Amino acid sequence: MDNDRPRRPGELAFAAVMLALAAFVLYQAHGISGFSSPSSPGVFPMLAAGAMVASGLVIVLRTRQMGLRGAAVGRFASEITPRRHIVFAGMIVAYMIALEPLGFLLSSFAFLLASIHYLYRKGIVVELVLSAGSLAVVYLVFRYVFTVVLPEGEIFR
Amino acid sequence: MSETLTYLTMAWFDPSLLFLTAVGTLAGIYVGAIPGLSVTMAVSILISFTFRWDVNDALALIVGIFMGGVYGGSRTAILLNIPGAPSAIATALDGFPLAQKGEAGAAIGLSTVMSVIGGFVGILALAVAAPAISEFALKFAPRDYLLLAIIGILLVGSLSGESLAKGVFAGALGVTLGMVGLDPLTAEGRFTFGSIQLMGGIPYVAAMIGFFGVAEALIQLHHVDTKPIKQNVSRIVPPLASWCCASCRCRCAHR
Repeated sequence: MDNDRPRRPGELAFAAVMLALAAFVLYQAHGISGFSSPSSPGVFPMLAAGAMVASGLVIVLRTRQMGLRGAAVGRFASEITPRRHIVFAGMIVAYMIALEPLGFLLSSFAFLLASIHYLYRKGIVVELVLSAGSLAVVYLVFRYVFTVVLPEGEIFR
Repeated sequence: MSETLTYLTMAWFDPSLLFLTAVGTLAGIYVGAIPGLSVTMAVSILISFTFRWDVNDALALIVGIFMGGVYGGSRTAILLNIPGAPSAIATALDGFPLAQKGEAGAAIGLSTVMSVIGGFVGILALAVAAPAISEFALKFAPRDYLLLAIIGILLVGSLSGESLAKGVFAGALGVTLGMVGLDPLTAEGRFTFGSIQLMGGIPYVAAMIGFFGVAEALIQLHHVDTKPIKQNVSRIVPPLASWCCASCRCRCAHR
């Protein structure tokens, strides 16, 4: 069961953030149509958000009861947010931002090359071939076989 | 009844139809295994290709793609913990822990055997009871859909072995994400925050890649330096005794 294991670093804070998110969703759901009618568009959002708040409260209370093992701050840095995760999450965010202005091809190539270089480190030629090869396969399959419209980019349009 | 049986057996005894079904199934497995591509999308694209074909040939190919695609989602669910299709989400819960123990072959075999058996049961039920099932389906009223949805949410709660509260929270979050967009009856915006993009709702593929793909990629970053697990794929079809034990073992594994 959940209570048998020690609390993971950051688990209580995450549960609290989830509860706050649920409360915000409930507030937003109430704003859709309030309690005006049992078949109004806001009823199901309120029911779902209500279930989230109730279960979120249970999660927070149960997480608080769990024992904490070791120094929380040090373990949070080493287990949840090691440098590799921070860098990779940053690359994903940068890719998301670059996708629209640069287009799929350029931003995906840059993202693949950067992430393969960061994680694989087998020489620039291998990394270039891997990035270009995988991007070519993805592009051909999605663009020509399945005719998916991929972002062209605003700069090179 | 004899007419139904004729149509049922036609696809098995006509070599060209059997070939098209096999080709469709193989292509469907690839489509299903790619998280960005849905079976519905593949079938929609295929309709434009098969528009001028004979109806039986086209149906054989489309059925093959559909069946293969629904099954194919389990491959990435087992090997990468990223379901290729929404129908494979539950497969990831049991299949990925088996793959982590080097038994991906057994998991794929079990999933394949069960998919085949389930497919045959479905085909048989459809062939024998299609008229009765369609009559029953027509009796479904909105309240029945509501009850069905509630059963689905309760099932989510029971599937989340670690904590019921977390299962309910995740289920309710999923329902909330599914409600983003315009209300289907009144066209009133729900959780759109004034954004035009959100009015169309959140697509399944985007949500699945975000929840499963990115999450799994971040988890795998912990194991970049560890040696890959050698998978035992010598025997894909699992022995009969392991069928009942496999689900018990992997439940214990992810507890």
